[in-house]
Amino acid sequence: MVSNLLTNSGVTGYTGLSGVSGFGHHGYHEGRLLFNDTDTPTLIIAVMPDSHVDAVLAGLLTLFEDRSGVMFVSDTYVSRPDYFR
Amino acid sequence: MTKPSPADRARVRAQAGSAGQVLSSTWPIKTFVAVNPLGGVENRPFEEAIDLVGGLLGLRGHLPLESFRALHTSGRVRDADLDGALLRRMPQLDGMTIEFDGRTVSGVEALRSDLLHGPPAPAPARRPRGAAEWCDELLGAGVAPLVDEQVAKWCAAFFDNRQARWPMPGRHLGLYRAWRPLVAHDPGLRRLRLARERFTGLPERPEDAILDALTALRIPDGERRAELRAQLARTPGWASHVKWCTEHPDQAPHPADLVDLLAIRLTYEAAVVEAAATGGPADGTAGLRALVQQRLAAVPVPDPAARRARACAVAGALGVAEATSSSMGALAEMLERLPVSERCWVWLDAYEWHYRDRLLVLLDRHAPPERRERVQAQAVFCIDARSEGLRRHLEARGPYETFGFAGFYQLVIRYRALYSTHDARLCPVPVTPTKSITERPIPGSEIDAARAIAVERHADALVHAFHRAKDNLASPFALAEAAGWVAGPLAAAKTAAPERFARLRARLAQRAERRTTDPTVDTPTPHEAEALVAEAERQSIRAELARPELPEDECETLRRRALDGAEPRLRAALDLTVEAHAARVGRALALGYDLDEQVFWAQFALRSFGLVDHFARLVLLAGHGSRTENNAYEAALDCGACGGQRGGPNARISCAMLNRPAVRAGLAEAGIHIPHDTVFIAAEHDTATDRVTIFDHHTIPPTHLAEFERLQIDLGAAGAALADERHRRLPGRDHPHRRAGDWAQVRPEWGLARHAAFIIGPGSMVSGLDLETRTFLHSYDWRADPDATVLETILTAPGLVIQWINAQYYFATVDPDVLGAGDKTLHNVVGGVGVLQGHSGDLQLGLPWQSVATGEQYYHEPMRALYVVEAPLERVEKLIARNDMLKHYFNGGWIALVGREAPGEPWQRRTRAGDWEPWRPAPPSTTKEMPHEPREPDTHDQSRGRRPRRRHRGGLQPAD
Repeated sequence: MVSNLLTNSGVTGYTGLSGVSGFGHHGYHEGRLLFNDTDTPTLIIAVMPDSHVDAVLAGLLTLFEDRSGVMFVSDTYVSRPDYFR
Repeated sequence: MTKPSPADRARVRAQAGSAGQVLSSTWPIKTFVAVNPLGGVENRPFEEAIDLVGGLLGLRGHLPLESFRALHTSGRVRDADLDGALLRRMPQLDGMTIEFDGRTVSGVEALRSDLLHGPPAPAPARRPRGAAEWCDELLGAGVAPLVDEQVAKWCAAFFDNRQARWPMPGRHLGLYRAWRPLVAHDPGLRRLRLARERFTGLPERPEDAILDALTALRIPDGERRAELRAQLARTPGWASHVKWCTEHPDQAPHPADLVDLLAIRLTYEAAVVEAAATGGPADGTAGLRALVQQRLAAVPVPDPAARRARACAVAGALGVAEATSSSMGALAEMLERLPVSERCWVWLDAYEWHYRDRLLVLLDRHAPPERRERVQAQAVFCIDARSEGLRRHLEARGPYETFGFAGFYQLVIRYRALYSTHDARLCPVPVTPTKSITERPIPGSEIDAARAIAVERHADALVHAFHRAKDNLASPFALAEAAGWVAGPLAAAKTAAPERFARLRARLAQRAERRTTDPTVDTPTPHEAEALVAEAERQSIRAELARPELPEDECETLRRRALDGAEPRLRAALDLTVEAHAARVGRALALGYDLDEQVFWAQFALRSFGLVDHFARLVLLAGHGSRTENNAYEAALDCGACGGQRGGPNARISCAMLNRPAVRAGLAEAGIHIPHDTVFIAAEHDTATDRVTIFDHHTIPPTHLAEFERLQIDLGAAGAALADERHRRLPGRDHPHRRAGDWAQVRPEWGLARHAAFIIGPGSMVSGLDLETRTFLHSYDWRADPDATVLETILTAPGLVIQWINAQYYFATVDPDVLGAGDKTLHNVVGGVGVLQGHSGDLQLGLPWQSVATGEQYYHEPMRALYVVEAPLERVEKLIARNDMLKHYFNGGWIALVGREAPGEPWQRRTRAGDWEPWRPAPPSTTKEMPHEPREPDTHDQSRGRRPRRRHRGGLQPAD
């Protein structure tokens, strides 16, 4: 759903990292890479110009109204800016 | 209207995604995959999930109360089962009593009387409603079904997969964008009494169309998600298929997502609601919305008479003619501990534990047979409940040892057979294949292979041409002249002698399967990849030229010439260019497994089913599938672990790896010593006929032929015994062998109906027991799994597949009108995607009625699965704690769990709170015990007769 949102918001690409582990309000998430794709925490990294950020944030915040998830937003530097426009 | 901002669009897209969460994805019927229809809300407790989705779709979520009561009358649920269920739900009831006009009545007795005699709960109703439904409810407009009709019509056109002769244009643009330019020209608008102008100039983006419609319908921001959810719930079948397209863009033929579907639906709704509300009592959409808000604000008031009526019914059942008001008050207070709406959960629990108690008693009393030093042969079958019967009958035939393992053999692969032009994903559907395997002829059989490919392709082309001609407007007349002389007798033979036809077809299939090919198990070197591609290209040239006998050198010359730019016909037809060749070599380099991967897999697989020593000279690895005739649901009978396909290739690949000396050397280093005289042989169990086909005869050494022949004979006899056993359970007189070939047969086999449990433990735990093909069996020895990795995989991969199968059968039985596919005799396959009841409407979800019932009698017993695990409980608990999916299943009541560490130890039952407590069966009944196995149902065979369309009349009639 997140990837569908990103691509329809004009984001030109993203990177997905499966099997993310961590500790939070609900205890450990071990992120074990099993045979089951449906239960694997995933970290999605997308780089985009400022003009796309508001739309993506609006969509993700709407998604987080009824499901768990964490979002980090920060400035970044990239070697080839054209890739992300 | 104001142009929406990108943020508005993203928000509505997210809202649509959230709204779709309540639905499960529906796979195309050709790869029918069992899914939990409530899979989108599996993270909620079972009852809560049913309440949420039930409100949307109008589900009940359990058998009707009268059915449960009929089960009590028949003895399938006893008083002791009800008492046990009440105490499991409310332990505080234990010892609680009320004084009732001089009598002391226990709380359990009072509530049991209420379960048996209390007034029923009101029937479920859909809520909340979408805009057009409100319009129908408040204004009597009758427009919602018209919108459903339009949506279904366009979906059927868009999702058609090469069935329509005149396909919908522009499908590559996506569902909404293909519909947008066409809708204004649709004569169907006249039926809706809508002006074409309303549908010209629609927004280019589907998000904008949704926002426009929501604004026109005056849906407030806070209610939009619920509105979208209600809209999707109008056609849950199509919505579920669109959801599958969204999640599997790589497999969907054309792009579509829920935003597209909602945009189309809401555009229609806005138009019809506006037209219906104008000039009426609502005076426009704003007035209609005000009426809706008024209705929603009305709070239902509890009915005091209902409370009293409930108490009176129980008092009457307890034999109290008159009671003081204080006694009645105390009784009513006691009854309120179990709300009327939750009584059926107690019934369900009692119904389930009646079966489970019997199963656990059986396992408890079973003395495992002593392990022999070296058995005649070992055989590994899929965990599928249908394999249990074959294992049982085979073990009864001689010194055989059998195991259960998920039928994909933990190989997550794409597979392309030599004769096929497309890849099959042979693994559970939640998994993405990571490897590709293909077939190649064994050295020396290239010409035979080319001949076989030519025959297969010609046969395919013939069938395709026949169907094209048949479906065309003009050509059927010419076709009847040209092909009638062969098609007519063939149809007559299939009708008059289906068993002989099935036998002939099975023989042909066996002949095809005996062709000498090898799967490309090893990752090729660059040189081998080049050779592999060259060989495949030569095979394609022979097939293209229809010259299977073309000598190798001539063929090679043609290939080289084509690659060099000559032979334009071959270049065009077979894409024989340098670039395409290089791409093929690149793909070939990614084929197969390297040695380390094979050793790792072999070690994991053998440890998974606990075969790490005492290897027999022959070890059979079997997949399974079901070969039936004219059956749109054939894939539903194939191997669920192989994504609804036949599992033979996975068994063949497994054997190829386990027979490799280098793999065995690697295994020996890991402590698993396979004797040099052990040979692994691959097979496939046809669950429609219970015949077993052995593959790759060329891999069986002459030294093992005597044992092999004996094994073949015993497999044949075991299969025949199982087919006879199944014959007794099927309605009508037709034997399974006849059913498999009968193209008018609506129930070729029972599939997984009546399954009820998943047993994970050593084979000795069940060896010699008759479990009536009701249990999935996974062999497992926790002592060979020190870090519990294998158990974790079993619970999260096969465990997930079984939960989906279980939920699908459950809901298709208890809510067949919504989550079942209805009567097979009325089915029309639409576009290769799914089936419709009749010629239009929503795509049907789930299993057809004939998969779970016969006539008005249920055959399947709708129970949530029990998982039985033999392993240290703290390990099991640790796995649950670290897997959200398992937490949802076991804590949410989707699956029940019992465990013990070793034979002889008492079973422990895991509560939903995560505690383990000793299992105690309900005390045995003093009245008649119900036999487990149903007698042959006495209803007529529906393949020959007509069944009344709907169910639920008189509730569940136990088949026995």
